[in-house]
Amino acid sequence: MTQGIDVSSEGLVLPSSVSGSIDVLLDGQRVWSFNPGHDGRSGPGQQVSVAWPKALVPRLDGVADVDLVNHVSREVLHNQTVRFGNGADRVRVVDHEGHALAVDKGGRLQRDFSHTEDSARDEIMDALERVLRDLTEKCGLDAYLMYGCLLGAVRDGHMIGHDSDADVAYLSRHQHPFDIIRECTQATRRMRALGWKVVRMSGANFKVWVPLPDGRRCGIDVFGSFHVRGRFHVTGSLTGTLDRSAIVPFGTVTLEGREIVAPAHPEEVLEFTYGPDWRIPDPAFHFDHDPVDVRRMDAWFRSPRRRLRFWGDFYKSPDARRVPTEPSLFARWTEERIRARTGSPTHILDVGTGTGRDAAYFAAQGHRVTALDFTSLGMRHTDKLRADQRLKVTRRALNLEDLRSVLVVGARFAHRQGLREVYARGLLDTLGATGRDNFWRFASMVQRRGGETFLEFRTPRSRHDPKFFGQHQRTYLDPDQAVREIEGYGGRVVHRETGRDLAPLGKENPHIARLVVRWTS
Amino acid sequence: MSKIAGRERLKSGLSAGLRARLRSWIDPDDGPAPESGLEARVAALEDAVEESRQLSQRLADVVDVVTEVLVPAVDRDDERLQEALARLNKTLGSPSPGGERD
Repeated sequence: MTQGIDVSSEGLVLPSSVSGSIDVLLDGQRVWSFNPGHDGRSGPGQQVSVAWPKALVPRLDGVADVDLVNHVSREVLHNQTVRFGNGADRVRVVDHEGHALAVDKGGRLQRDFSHTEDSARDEIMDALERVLRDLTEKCGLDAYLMYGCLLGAVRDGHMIGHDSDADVAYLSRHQHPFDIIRECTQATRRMRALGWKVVRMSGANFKVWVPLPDGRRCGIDVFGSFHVRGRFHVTGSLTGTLDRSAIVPFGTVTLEGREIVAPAHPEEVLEFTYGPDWRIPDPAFHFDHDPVDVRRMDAWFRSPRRRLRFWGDFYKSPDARRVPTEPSLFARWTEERIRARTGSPTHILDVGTGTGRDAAYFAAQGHRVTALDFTSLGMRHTDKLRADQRLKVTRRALNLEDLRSVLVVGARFAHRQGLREVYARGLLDTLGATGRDNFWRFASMVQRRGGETFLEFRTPRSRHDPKFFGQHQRTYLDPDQAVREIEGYGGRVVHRETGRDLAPLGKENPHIARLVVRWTS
Repeated sequence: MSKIAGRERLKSGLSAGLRARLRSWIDPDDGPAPESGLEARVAALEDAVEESRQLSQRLADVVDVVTEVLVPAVDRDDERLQEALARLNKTLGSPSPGGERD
């Protein structure tokens, strides 16, 4: 046992002499690993404090025996019974089917391989081999084992227990991001056509979901790797100097008793990936990429992902339950205006619908409503409301940061007969210039035969106001700038007003702009 | 191509905000800019690089959409066009909000 360790709801305090990767066990179940050197903050005296990871905090309610164990030596450093929150039950970190979860290196709660039965392990290996074969034979890619799977294979021939996904990469034959994206797009499409459930993660990597016999699913991540101007890059954001000869011609490694295609010199690739200490097991490892490298990869391949994680996290957080369920003042104002103009129900596209509270209101007024957002997580908060009132709202995915999504969804609406109204409240002040540009394109496409676009957004005068939701991703939009951009797209502002008291929420009373736009003469 | 024509071509491909920042050191005739130091020039160049890096993704997406719908569009085959759009939406869609190794 190590003296001077304390665990509480707030976090962990350890002497600064404690180092290495430390497993945190609650009632004997590993739920997280951390490294005080990386994850801690120096406190008073010779102490380091480590906060609980965000993903774990909502689960910490009740009582648990907490063990801190050195991951390599298995020495138990500390044991303490801790009461978290007000709950009287034991703390349980499990999924809805009771399977144990642990925080992975991306900060998310996942099932890992440590509780995987042998039969499921075989299934994962079967799937891994089939994915590698299809990538090679059907997609024409030079695919190989990478990241955690390669590490496990070279270390001891097994998948790493604390890993939660399987990783492969392919060596692109291209050297320009444009060609690399095209190559990845083709491979994604081909894998889908072969029957795989594939999710595009960026312009140069995707995930293949494989169902397992024990009810869970395993993700096989497929990462693009390539040389650009002599530098080697692997998606996510791994960048550095690694000669092509370290990768090809391929060799093999043994993983779970099977020969799997691998880089020519796996040790070189592992040192490039994890640094010189790659042989020492470290479940608390996370990449410490140079921000310049992350920014470059973001710009090349991940611009359509902008803001996705923020809003995904927001709608999963308790904060989302604080969003009112009654309609906004702007929804009522818009409905009155539509009703006065058309005299009858119409089709309303609620763009950036969020929780869908205004979409529900429009449906309740008899309109046909399509709610568009990149995620359906927000609308779960009004599922009951819509069910209770038997309201029909059609959901459609639209990512305004993704030009492909805007063109395809926009074209499909534009093609349909009839007029439609576009409603976007609190949207423009959450988008950047690219997202706005895409929004103007979308609105002008879908209203080429008529209809009006109703916009409400915070202006820069709201920037320093107190906020109902505290710190949030906001991009305050100057109404003059909005008008210039609208006119640039051929639109005409037919109503404009600004002021306060238009969208008060709690103690927040932002300065708001309302615009109504027509895209036809 | 003359130096000035090259500059004009460079500027015409950039956003208005970025053009204004670049103008502060490209066009000395516009008068002294509030940010005229090396730091401002590097920041403007970083913005320009960022913007041009993003073009690959946008161009690749446009090429993909055009490629998929061009043939049915030229054939004036509305059914196939609808199918192509539905397929484009379904087979690729937007990136997942889930995590990536980054």
